[in-house]
Amino acid sequence: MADPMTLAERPVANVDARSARGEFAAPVDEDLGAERPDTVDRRAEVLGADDARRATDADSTTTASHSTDILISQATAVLLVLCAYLVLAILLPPHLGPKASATAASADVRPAWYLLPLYGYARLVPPALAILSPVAFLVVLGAVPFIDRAGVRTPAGRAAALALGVALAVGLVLLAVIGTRAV
Amino acid sequence: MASLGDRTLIRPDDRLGVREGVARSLRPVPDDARGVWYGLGGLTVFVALMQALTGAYLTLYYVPTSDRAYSSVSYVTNYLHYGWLVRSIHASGAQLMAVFIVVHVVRVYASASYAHPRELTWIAGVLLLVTAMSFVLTGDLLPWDQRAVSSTIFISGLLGQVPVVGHALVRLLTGGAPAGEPMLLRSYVAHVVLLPAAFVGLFLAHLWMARTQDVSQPGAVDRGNDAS
Repeated sequence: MADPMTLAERPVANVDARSARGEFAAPVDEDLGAERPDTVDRRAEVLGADDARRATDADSTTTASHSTDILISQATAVLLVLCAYLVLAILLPPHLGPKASATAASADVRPAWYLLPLYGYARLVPPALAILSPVAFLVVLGAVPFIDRAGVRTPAGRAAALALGVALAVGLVLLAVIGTRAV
Repeated sequence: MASLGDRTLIRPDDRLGVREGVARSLRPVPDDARGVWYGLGGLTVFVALMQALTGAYLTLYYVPTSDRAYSSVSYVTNYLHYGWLVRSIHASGAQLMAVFIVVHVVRVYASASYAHPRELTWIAGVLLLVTAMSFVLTGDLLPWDQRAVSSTIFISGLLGQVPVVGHALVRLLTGGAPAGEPMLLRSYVAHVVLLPAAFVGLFLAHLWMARTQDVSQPGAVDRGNDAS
């Protein structure tokens, strides 16, 4: 057991850091309530009574205050999405053209706007490539975690990956423009 | 006194780990991950639920045969009370889902949140993207108007050009007659049975892994030897 007098002099931030590293991780069912007395007791064995109580209070305060914030922000987001639904449903209702007929001339086959890059690409390249290269792209997309093994998550540390992403986005926009103009 | 579960040897928690799962789901989200950019996955789920609800309502009136599909959609759009609104919400949901999924993918890519140990979470997400695209392609044919049929003939033509497997794929998807009754039925079954089942399974796996592994820490460096 650690010396309570020594640990009691440490700042709370240090205690929180150790807590974040899981040094005080209790069984999962006890994680539900950090304020539970048995959790405090377990921390007290390692930290000493004062630090354990301060760390537990800090956890409880953080969770409680942010829960309200999250609830409000999520409710706001859902309301905004519902508004977007109504705007889209009223301003851009789905079109229903003439009934399909074997004798009718082929209609405009341009897809919904979010598939226009694919359509534009299909109009640019040979048919087989129009199918195979999007499939290949999705395979590469799925393999991204195994291609990028650096594990760096800061934007500055992965400038090449971000530049590739921006180039891809620009390319998709250009293909969408081509898809819009193609018939 | 022993509980009913103990006496009957039926203790779901022992078998399903329900308490542990709930405990993991209720763990507080880190401060770094409380912004709007980290809520796009949740909004996608909300839109997916709306799609399921409106889609279930539309299946009450839709008839997946080539001679009645168009008239059933027309009935929903023009005669059914608020049918136009339900159909519009279903169509708008596809657009909103496309936006949320793309921005969610961009956020995860930009922050490299796919890094160890979240590789499988990312793969499940990519498969969800493929499933969402398949929803669009199969749903597009269902109104059975001229544009939908012409579009399907166009896609079948592309598929047929794929070396080796092209013709087999076309046959599998169309039943041998592009824009015929078999293709309508196959698209319908895929749209309302197969793809929803795949989506739910992939989503549960995606969510379970995301909650089990917690939210990635922005700016962290992960070299595969920690579980953050």
